[in-house]
Amino acid sequence: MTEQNIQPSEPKPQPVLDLTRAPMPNVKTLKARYNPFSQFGRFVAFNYRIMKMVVSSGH
Amino acid sequence: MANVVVLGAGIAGHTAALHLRRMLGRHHTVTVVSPNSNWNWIPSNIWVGVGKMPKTKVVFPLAPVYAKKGVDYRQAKAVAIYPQGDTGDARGAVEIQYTGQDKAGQTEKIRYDYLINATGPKLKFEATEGLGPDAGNTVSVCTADHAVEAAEKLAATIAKLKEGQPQTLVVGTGHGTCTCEGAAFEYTFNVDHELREAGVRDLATLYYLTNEAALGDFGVGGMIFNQGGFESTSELWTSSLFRERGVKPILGTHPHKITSSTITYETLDGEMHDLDYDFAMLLPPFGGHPIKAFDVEGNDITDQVFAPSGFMKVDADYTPKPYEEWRADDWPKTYQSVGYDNIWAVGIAFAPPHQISKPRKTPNGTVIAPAPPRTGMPSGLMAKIVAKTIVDRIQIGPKAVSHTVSMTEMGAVCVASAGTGLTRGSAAAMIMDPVVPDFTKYPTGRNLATTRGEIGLYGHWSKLMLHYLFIYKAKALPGWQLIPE
Repeated sequence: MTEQNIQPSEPKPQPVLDLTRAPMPNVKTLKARYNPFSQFGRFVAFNYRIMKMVVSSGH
Repeated sequence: MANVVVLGAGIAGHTAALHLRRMLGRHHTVTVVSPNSNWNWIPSNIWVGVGKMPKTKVVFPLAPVYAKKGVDYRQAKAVAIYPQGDTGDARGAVEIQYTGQDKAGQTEKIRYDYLINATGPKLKFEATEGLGPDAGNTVSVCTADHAVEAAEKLAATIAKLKEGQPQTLVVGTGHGTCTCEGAAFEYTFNVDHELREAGVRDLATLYYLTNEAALGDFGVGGMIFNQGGFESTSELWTSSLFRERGVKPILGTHPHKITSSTITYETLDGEMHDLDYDFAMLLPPFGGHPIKAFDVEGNDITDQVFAPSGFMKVDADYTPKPYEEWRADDWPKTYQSVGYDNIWAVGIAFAPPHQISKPRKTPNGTVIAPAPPRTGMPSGLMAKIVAKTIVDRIQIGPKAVSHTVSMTEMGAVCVASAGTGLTRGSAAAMIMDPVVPDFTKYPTGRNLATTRGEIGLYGHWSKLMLHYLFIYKAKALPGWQLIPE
């Protein structure tokens, strides 16, 4: 844990996690997350997986 | 004729009651004892807490549903259990105290042949000095009323930001042993979303203060996913989201004291810190409800029936052992109470054998250990199998084999909202299969074919769909039983 990005509005430094090595999504990824067509496909796939898990575990 | 009593009408208790009523003939009685008059779809409290959904959309009255289904409903809380009966009657009994139905404060002893304890959590705000709505410092989204208050205070904070006053907002866990980090996670990103929509994000500093030792832990030890031909982790994935949204995570924390302006917390390295804030939503730790247990002669046997946490002891292995020796077999399968074959505890009410995440202690001896989540899908599933067991005991006989399901076998879905809106909303959608990792079965602890974590607009659609589906199911509308737990 390291301190970073202390802004003037923060009177006391905090042990904020260093996120500089965390992957930053690019513009293409961010746009894809809101594209209704590709997201509809993800929606179907996600719910299919849930139903598959539900059926296989005898819920 | 058999009398089945269900304590609690949350996801677990309500599910059990509806399935019991569906499967048992009307000559058997199903009684639900709950101090609350409303059913609450708690996952959507997050949206109430940011002012995006009215309270009326997440609650509905229980009495009409139970009246329609033929369930005997007592608006009351359980105060004592007599599992061996008493001198007047050998059948087990529960002492209840009414909280409504024009009988508030009155007590009654009701007899049961089978008892399900699904009382859910007691919100232990008192565990941290100054925590929670009653202390007047921090808000909560644990109940619909708490969420309404949270929305009002958040709106006031946003109003100050619009006036140009910088504000510090803190969202997270109010104690080192909290659970439901997923709820804190989603409230964080819903607050972030609201700040952006209001055009004031640049003036706000948003902290995520959590007892998790790593981002993406969620109290389940994190997850490993198979993505794009690589094994990825929930830690990497959530870190990316925090970086993208500019939310500042502070990990491995235990708040000791909260005042109207400062949170004093300890971190895993034993250091103490003061965090000044303007708005804070911090979840409380959970405990079991203070229900006593007595033997036939009236002697207190609470410690035999309940763990010190107040949760009911069931068929788990409670032998104290280090993290390295935890096994999938430690977890319960039937949820039958210790010593009584006609009592079960499901959902949050059962005492877990240990955490799922690795527990830690600071050099000062402060325990920082996320408690295991056992809400939502697992709760409903446990309730259903216990209902089936009771039905078999009644219809086949006392030797009927118990139905089983373990958290080391069942998968669960967690959809953590990160902002609302049919075109601008998003959510982190996760499937963990199983909830409790089983390293004897899977090298990563979980099934890589089904365990997933993604963020996107579709996650919001999924959460919205679950909202309407589960409220439909809870209202016992036609075909409700076809909707899986």
